[in-house]
Order: sequence, then C-alpha cells, then structure tokens
Amino acid sequence: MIKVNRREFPWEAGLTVQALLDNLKDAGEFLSIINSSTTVTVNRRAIPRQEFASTLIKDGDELLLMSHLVGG
Amino acid sequence: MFKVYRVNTKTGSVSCESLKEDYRYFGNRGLIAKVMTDEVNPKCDPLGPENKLILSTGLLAGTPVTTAHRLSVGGKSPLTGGIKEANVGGNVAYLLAQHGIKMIIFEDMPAGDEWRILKISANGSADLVDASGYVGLNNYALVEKLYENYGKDIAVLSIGTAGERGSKIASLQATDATTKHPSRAAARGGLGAVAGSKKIKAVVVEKAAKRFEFPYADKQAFDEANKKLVEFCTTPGSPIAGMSMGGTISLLDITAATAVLPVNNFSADFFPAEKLEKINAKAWVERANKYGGKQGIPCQPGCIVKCSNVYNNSRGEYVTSGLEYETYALCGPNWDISDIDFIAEVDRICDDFGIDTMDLGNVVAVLMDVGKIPWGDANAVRDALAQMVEGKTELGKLMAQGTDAVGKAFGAKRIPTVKGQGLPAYDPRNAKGMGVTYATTPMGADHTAGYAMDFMGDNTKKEGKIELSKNMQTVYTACDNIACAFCFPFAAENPDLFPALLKGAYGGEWDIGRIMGIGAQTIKMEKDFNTAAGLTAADDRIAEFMYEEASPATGAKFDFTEEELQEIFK
Ligand code: SF4
Repeated sequence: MIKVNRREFPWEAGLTVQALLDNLKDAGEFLSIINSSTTVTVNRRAIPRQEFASTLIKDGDELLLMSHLVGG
Repeated sequence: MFKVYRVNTKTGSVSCESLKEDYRYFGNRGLIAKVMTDEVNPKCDPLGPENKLILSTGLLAGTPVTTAHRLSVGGKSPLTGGIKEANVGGNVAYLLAQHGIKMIIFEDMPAGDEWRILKISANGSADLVDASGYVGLNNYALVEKLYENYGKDIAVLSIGTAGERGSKIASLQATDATTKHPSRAAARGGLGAVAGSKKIKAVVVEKAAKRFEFPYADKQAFDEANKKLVEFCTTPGSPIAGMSMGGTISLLDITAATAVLPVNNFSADFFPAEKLEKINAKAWVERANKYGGKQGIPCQPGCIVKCSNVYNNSRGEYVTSGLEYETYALCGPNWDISDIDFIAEVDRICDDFGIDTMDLGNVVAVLMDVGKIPWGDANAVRDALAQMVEGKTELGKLMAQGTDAVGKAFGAKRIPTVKGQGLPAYDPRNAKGMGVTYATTPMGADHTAGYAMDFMGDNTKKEGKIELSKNMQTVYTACDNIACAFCFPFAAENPDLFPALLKGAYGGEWDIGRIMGIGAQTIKMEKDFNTAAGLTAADDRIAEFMYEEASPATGAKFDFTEEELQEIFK
C-alpha cells in the first residue's frame, strides 16, 4: 500500500512514478493535477520529471502530486 | 477612442469623455487605481458622496483574446477601509467592450430614495432609468425581470438586497455568458454596498447594434500572436487545458493533502479521510456531471480555458453555476461539512442575496467556533442564512456585516481576517507564501492578489516566501490589468505571448518586463492610497491566532515578523 496525496492506493513490485501516474489517470484519479507540470515528491523528495520512468516506488512510500492549479 | 461614462447619481446626469492619454496602458485594476489616485479622497467615508464606484475593462477588451473580458469593480471598501478592486467574469465587460466603453464612474449620492438602473442601449447611449419596480428583489428574480423587460440580449451587473441594505460583504453579481444567471460575483470588499449607497440597483448593457472596432496598431501581427496563445492554451496536458476538467475545485486534492485546506475555522488540521472522500475532486466531478450538470463551460464569451460549471439538483434543476474552490472549501470543510449539494445550495443563496461566499464562509465558521451554530449542522446553517437574508433578527443583521463584526460581537479569539476581510481557502501557516500575500496586499486577505503557492517546495517554510509573494503579486496585478487569473499567469511563463499581443494591439515595444511594470505601478498607487487612508504596517498582519496556534498537522505557525513582512515593499 502507498499513499498518494494522503489517500491509500495498492502497490505492486516494479511500480514506477510514471506507471503510477498512468494508472491513476486511467482510474480517473487526480485528473486535473496530472499534466505536463505535475510535481511529484516521494517521501518529501522531489523527483525530476526525466526520472519519472526510472524511479521505483517502494511499498509504504508517501507521494504528493502537485500541479500549477489556481483556485478561484 | 475608448469611452468613459461619468454618472452623477445626485443630479442624474450622464456624460461621456475619452479615456485619458495617461490611462491608456492600464486596464481593469490599474484603471481603478488611477481613478482612485486622481479623484477620490483616501479619507472619505466609503458609503458617502466622496467615494466613487468604478467599473473598468481590460487592456485587451474588445479583441478576441481569450479571457480578456473580465470586469473590474472598484472604490474605497467599507470592509477594509482601503482601496478595493473586485474582478468578475461573465458577459458584462464583453458587451461594454462592444460599445467601446472602457470605464463607468459613478459619483456622489442621491439626496432622496429613488433607486436607478444605468442602461446602456444598443446604440451606445447611457441613461439612468427608474428602478422602483426592481428594488427589494434579489439577483435571480431581478435578472429574470430585466430579461422580461429588455430581452435576453443583455448583460447585467446588479446588487441584491444585501447591497441595498449596506452589507459590508455585499457583492455585485454579473450574468454568466453560458447560463445567463447572475452567478458570477465581484465579491470582495463590500463594493455592493457602495453601489447601494449610490442607489444603483443594476447596470444593464444591451448588445451593440454596431460593434466598436478595436484600433489595432498591427492587426496581422496581433492575429498571429493570438493564434499562438490559443495553441498554448489548448495543447493537451497543459495546466490550462486541465482547468476544464474539474475547474478550480480539483485543487482540493492538493490542499487537503497538505493541510492548506481550511478545516473547522482554520484549525490547520487535516480533514478526516472518510469526510474527504465525499468531497474530493473525484467525488466533485462525479456529482457535478450528474443530473445534467456540466463542467468545462466558459463564463465569458470567447474563453477557451473554460473552468466554470453548472450544478443541478437531483431533479435535474439548475442550482448554481461557477461554483469555485474557495466557496467549496470555506462553506464545506471549514464548517465540518462534506455535502456537495448543501455547498451548492449555499452558493446559490449567496449569489442571490448578493454576498461574498468567502466572507460568509468565515462568518459561519466563527459562529461555529463560538458555539452559536453546531459544527457540521447544515440545518442550523440554513436557519442562520435565512435570518441573514431576511435581515430582521440581530444575528441576521450582524452576519451581513462580516467576520470581524461577528467575531467581536461574540468575543471570539479566532477571527480569520486581514484588514477586516475574511481569509480565502489557504491556511497561512501551511501556505506561508499565501499568508504573506494576504497580509501585505493592499486588497486585504485576497488570494488572487498574488497566488504564492510553492509547487516545488515546502509551503510550511518561510524561506523564500516574501520574494515569492512579491513576484506573484506583481504577476497577478499585471494579470488583473489584462486577463483572467486562470490564463495569464501560465501564459506569462512564455515571455513572448502577451508582449506580442500588446504590441499588435497598441504598437511600440513590449516585453514581459514592461507588462510586469504595469503590475508594479498599480500596486504602488494602491499602497499609496491605503497609506493616505490611514492604513499602516500594523494593518499588514494575519489573524492573531495564527501566530500563536501551531498547525496540528505540521506544527507550523505563521512566524513572519512585522519587519520581515514590510520587506515586500522595498
Ligand atoms: S478561465 Fe474560468 S473564470 Fe476565467 S474567464 Fe474562463 S471560465 Fe471564466
């Protein structure tokens, strides 16, 4: 189990940041946060965009997705 | 040339003049600052004859640039005691621009009790007409009646009974381009009461019979630049394209995860997971699309960002449109409520009565905090809102005077305001840059004055946040001269888009520095006005309890000293 924006999601071995973002999108989660400007932190460490595909997520990791969204 | 109408509400005369040459490179908020600086005594009574109510359109109004038709409403605020600009979408600015009208300035006050409507006719003439048949109506019924009398090809800016009664948190409501309902609010600072003090019930703008032609310096260059902006906004995966998916409410997933979301009168704690599930972005999108509701609609003609929405009840009947993150958060989790239908109902009541949902969110949260309304009790809130709209009980009257008034009356220790204005939906302890903006902007607690969220770093840390807020205040104030906050700040990251548009429109040399200069000059005029009005560094403070109470979620307090905050003006 991992946490994304404080919500629990299942984990599987070999899960990368990029695969997680793709899965979340397919499941209709965080749709307007996941875009070309999304920042991802894993256990508070920011992951560079070019490393999304190679960064493995471990069981129990806590991720935060942020995007340049503004509120009105 | 662009026209300025000057309306003397005492004599009933309306005159027309050309936009002054030194006003030419300002729009919206910048024009308000110019008029306030040149014409209004900073020490005046906001609800007296010396104050003015100003409407203005943007630098690119009258062109096809997306989101260029925001309307600004300005004057001295009865809530903050300082200068105020409230910015609204809808179709009013679009129709004003069709007539070539850049500003309307309402002056003085009538001696008697006659209410009036300013009507801009299809031929561009402006007249004050009798509003006696409309007084006492709230915005939805008022607009329906105006459509019956003038047809549906009009745009309306109006006040409800809140503005008539001088509520310090009264809004002016603008008709939405898609729904035609008065659901867009120039909400902040109680400017609806300034309209009420001048006995102006509404401004009605008919579609122009002959459209004003924008005097482009180089139309071809302008068209090319505009094509690039459209491409930028519509590229899949861009943050702008994402705005049409869940609108601003999608932000809740981020603020809830970082304890930035206001919960139980800004307790700075997390909203419990089981409640959050009922109200998060996914729940919102599912509920909002049900029963014929819609996402991704434009509030003004020509907007391709389309962050707005229509919300229907379970019978498929329209409830409200343009429900935004701020209302959703402040009238939801901040009251310990996670019922989307109820939040939509509150939004409708506020738009109809003509009151700021953000201040109302704070008013009710304070009433809950002092035990006058139980936490999470929707029925008790309904009852309090009914009292406020009716305006007969002491509680009802008090609620319409804003968060400070309610807090003081009940001896509350936790009053979430800056300069008397209720906080928007970002807790300043866990969103420190936003806190700096709330404290220091001449507007009072206002998130759109400088959206200082650090998307790459830690928002609970104070390092770098003064600089971030300063930069963002400049960007957003420049934005408030030109276009919507959901378009311009993103596009401004590309240094060529808006300079090329302004060059095509006005000629001369434009770069991003010149555009930011407009923002900086606007803030300078506003700050000077506030200083002359008597506001000091002591007013540039966040709500006191936020310096003392640590966030249970993160341990953060709002820990900027007065000196540190004043750095922003250097
Ligand atoms: S981006 Fe949203 S608020 Fe701005 S003009 Fe478009 S619909 Fe209206």
